[in-house]
Amino acid sequence: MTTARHCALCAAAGLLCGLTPLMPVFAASTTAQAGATVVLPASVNAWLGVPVSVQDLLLAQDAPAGPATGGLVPRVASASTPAILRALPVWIAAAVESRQAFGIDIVPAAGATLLARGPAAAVSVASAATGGDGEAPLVITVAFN
Amino acid sequence: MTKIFHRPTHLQASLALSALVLLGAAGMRAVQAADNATATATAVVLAPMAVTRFSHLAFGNVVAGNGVVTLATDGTRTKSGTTALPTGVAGAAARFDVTGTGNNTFSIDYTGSDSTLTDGSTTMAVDWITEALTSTTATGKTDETTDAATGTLSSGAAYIFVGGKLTVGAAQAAATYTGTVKVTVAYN
Amino acid sequence: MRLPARRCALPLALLLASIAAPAQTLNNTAALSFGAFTAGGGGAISVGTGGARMKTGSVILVNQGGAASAAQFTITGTPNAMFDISLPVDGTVFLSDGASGSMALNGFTSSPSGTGVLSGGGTQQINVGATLSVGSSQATGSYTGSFNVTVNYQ
Repeated sequence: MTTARHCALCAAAGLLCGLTPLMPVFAASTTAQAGATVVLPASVNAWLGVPVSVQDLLLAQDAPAGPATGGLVPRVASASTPAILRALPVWIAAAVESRQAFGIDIVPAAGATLLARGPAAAVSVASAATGGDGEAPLVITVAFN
Repeated sequence: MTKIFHRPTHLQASLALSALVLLGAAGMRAVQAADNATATATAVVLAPMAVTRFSHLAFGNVVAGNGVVTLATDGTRTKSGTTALPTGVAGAAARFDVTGTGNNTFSIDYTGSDSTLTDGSTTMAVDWITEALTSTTATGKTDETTDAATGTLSSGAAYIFVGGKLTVGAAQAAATYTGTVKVTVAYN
Repeated sequence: MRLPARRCALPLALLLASIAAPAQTLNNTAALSFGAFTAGGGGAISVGTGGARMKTGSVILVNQGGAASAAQFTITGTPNAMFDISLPVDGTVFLSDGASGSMALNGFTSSPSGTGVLSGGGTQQINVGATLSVGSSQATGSYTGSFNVTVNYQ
């Protein structure tokens, strides 16, 4: 190759490099889809543990439903709280009606103990703090899968 | 007795010797007048690179309160918030199958990939987790800070796995959100 | 009868000089390599006498699989002697992959070009480059071939 043609080729290569995009012309590419589904959480109502007084039942029924996204579930402290574990059945309204499978997450405050979970429509939790449920509120969140 | 052969004179002897020598010298140069040698030329032609999508990426079901949901490159999910991950739909990492020649290396570019998942109106930010391996088994990488920018073929094959870190808002609207991951490979 | 010493001196000197003339040799010391590339849409790849690799057309050069290099030959012989260089003509050299793949090697160039001169020490190096034609559907694989370079001493 003569010097003139060599220089011409170099110039052409330089021009080509300047004009073409950074991606090689014959690079291979493809795409994939990414997806996520945001599901609504279900409302949670909490009952007091057994044995309960009528007053506790009325108060629990009138208590606002547990916030769906994890706020505090208020419970009434019993005047004579024994220093023992008490089971707190949680009634999940929509789950009982529709019998859908659901996921549940319970974040205890300090001193709380989670008992083994029961059937899909009921969850048992308890607080091991001195004073029982009134001393250690729980955050309960339920969402359908 | 008369001598039959005529002994050459000094001059004739000298000339004869000179001629002999010159002839000899010229003859030797004629043998060395040209020479040639052989060289080898080599070139390697590689097959063009190709990449195909083997599986899509799925974060599965999430709920507000999950915080940042991490989908590792092996498909396992974890969350950072106080809310449990709904388990009805399993998570899955995307896998891209790369082909080329031999054990050459290649560059990987993700330009063209989305940085959010959207349902058409609202969005969730996403940070991809990537790794390039020569095996179909991902390592479960959860680090999104460094993307795999190069890979190595093994007998002409390689695999790119993509997971991600999804930020679920505190009041994220319930909907199906989608986005796109794009990979581009080239010999480097 | 004795031969005159002086008349014998010149032919004897000539004889001795011819016998002691160094052997003119041409040896190949490096191969011509085009490295690795993908055929793309076809084109040509040229390796210059300095070893620089350039491409025309849509061939894609790859930086691995071996570096490109010019062929090198070394001449040894009479100091300061001149020589002509003969390179292969177009259409005579082909690289083959051992099967049906073939690429033509043309446009041979050399440095020095055409003629050269041996150094005072009686040596010289010749670099040879060429241009490889790559087809758009060139079969993948390793291609090799060989070519001859001839020098004629003047």
